[in-house]
Amino acid sequence: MAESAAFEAACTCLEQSGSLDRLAARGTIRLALKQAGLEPKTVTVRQLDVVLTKLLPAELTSRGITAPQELCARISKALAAIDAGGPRSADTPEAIFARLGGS
Amino acid sequence: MQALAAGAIGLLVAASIAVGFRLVALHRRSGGAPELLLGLMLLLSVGVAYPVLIAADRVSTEMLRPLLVVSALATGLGFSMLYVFTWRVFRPQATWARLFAGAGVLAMAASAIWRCYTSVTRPDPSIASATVSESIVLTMTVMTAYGWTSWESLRYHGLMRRRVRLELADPETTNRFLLWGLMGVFVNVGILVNTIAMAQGIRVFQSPVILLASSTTGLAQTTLLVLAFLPPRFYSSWVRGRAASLGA
Repeated sequence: MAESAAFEAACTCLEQSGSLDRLAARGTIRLALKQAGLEPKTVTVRQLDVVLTKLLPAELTSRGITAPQELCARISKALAAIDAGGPRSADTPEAIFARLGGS
Repeated sequence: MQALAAGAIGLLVAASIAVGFRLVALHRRSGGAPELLLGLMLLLSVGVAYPVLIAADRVSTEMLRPLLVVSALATGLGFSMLYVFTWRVFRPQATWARLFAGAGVLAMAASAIWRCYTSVTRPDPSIASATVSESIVLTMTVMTAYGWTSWESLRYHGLMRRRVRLELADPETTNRFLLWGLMGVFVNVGILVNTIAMAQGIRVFQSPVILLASSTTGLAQTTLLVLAFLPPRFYSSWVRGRAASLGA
């Protein structure tokens, strides 16, 4: 199964900013997602937006990138333009377990 | 001690039937397959198979045969559904998970057909007359089903805990993964204790230690099942309050 459209778009945007090469860009976003308990295959635009705000700036700073907030804002803008794709929210384990318990 | 064990099994059966009916009713409203699979699994493998097996210990040979057939079919169908549930919920896109679930269903079906056949044809159809290899195949297949669902649920609980810290997940749903994962662990501990005891020739219904262990695991399963799928309001409030106090 391929990575989600949101993940691919964020990686492409980070790579095109010229700050990191393809491998480093994907690795950096993967690390931020791991910290958030999210997976590249299923991450949605909304979830990735939270990661861009709360976790990715620190990851970028640790790689010597200046002005990480501006870069994250640019990625966030790129994400807003794409179709979220990925599995329907009703099919995720999270949505199913929420239904099963009535919450 | 036997009364405690009987009470624990009775509670587990009652809780499984209550949760099973609730999930099947939920399926009628939502149309979701996971609620139907889990609901029928609980109704068949615990709600039907357990009481029928207990009754089978107390009836004549003529009555025993149909009861054992019903128990074998309920067990086979019920645990097959657990394999499919785990695949559909946690790994719907993974080919290996589809194959693994398919192998589990085939193993349960083969075991059920064989048990039906021997229940009808064997001169002494009682459970005690089952061969060691028959018991091992069934036990291992059931333990694998619970072990798999437990592993996936506890793994997902780990992911959800990190999401809760970022306010990306609901604390009560996160806790439900933990409860379901632990339920699978307690089922397997219960099966393991009884299997080891039987392999050593211990009469499990006569041994106070085994009865105590079975009662404990049975009560734990009941508690976890109810808290996961029929949570009382106070428990839901406690989970949410605890998450809030931890800064989630």
